[in-house]
Amino acid sequence: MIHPYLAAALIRERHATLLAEAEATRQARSARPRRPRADATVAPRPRLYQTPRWWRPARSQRPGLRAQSAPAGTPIVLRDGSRVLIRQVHSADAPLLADGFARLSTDSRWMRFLTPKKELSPAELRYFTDLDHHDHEALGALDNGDGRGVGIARFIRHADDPDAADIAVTIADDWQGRGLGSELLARLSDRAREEGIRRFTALVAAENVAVAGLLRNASASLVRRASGTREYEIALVPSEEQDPPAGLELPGLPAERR
Amino acid sequence: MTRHDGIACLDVLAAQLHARGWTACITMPAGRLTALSVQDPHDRAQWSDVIAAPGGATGDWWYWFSWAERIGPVHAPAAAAEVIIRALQRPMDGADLAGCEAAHGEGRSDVLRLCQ
Repeated sequence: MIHPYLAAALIRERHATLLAEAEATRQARSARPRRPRADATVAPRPRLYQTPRWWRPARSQRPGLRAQSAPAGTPIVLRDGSRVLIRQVHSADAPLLADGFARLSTDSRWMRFLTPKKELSPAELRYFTDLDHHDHEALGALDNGDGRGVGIARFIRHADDPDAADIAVTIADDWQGRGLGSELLARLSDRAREEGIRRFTALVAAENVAVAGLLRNASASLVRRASGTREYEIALVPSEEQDPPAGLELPGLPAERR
Repeated sequence: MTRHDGIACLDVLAAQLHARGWTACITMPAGRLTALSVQDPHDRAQWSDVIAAPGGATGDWWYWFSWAERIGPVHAPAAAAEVIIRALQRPMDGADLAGCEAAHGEGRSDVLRLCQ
């Protein structure tokens, strides 16, 4: 049996060799003369091993860093008077998401991810921020003061049922109880209707009373009770048939205007 | 199905992932859901957790990403493994992948033997 340290060293060595081989291949290919493209509208291929697009703005680990070129959000005043900006999540938001996750308590992480989780993997950060905004949408809430992420809600359309989507809502611990979850869920519902989704489903940790309450307030029905999890479903009423939920702002209108 | 059946489902999925060159190991934290930690041995940044839980009105068991996104029914573990790999595999910005894939293919058996 190979000693674990030796195995790890061999893996690292092999990985470095593979990277070197790939880089040599890239250089050999780039040194070759290129034929002009017949289709001039096709974008040139990016370099191999350049910094991945989803990671480029994430170099700085400074907390509270605002994503570069992030779109402006809709300002919202929560019921305690605190202000947030709510906007779509984009690929440049990986640092914000990583920072937000790092500030979650152990319990909140477990509630959200149903397993003990110390960090988000780079693959997960990419998955959560590189969205098509059709089958996978996420709305983030930023503290209006320091620009840090304080909440996020997302839907991901079911692969086998385009009318349905799984949803999840996460609110930073010190921002819970202010109505931010309801605000995000209402706006996520609007976005889902725009994308043709008719119902939300949510798999929730059995102990997650905060999200259970949030879903019940959104007229969710409990469809499945299992060991460790609950599943809820929300029928999305078409916008023209729906009155604004109590305590929520009309989409696009700050609370103080109501 | 019981919790043990869920673990058996994760075990089947682990086998499917192993067959595709990924590492997968079951973790059973006390008092919490059993999860399958999956990782691409060629790129350690590509890892995540998968659980098995009932879903929908029928109560059929599904594989789920731990972020509460359903992957697929447990009776189709091969398809679930493909979905997991597609979701987690980082698309390399360089579109010219042939050389890199060939290099990884050559080293795959060695790396797998060490990681499993």
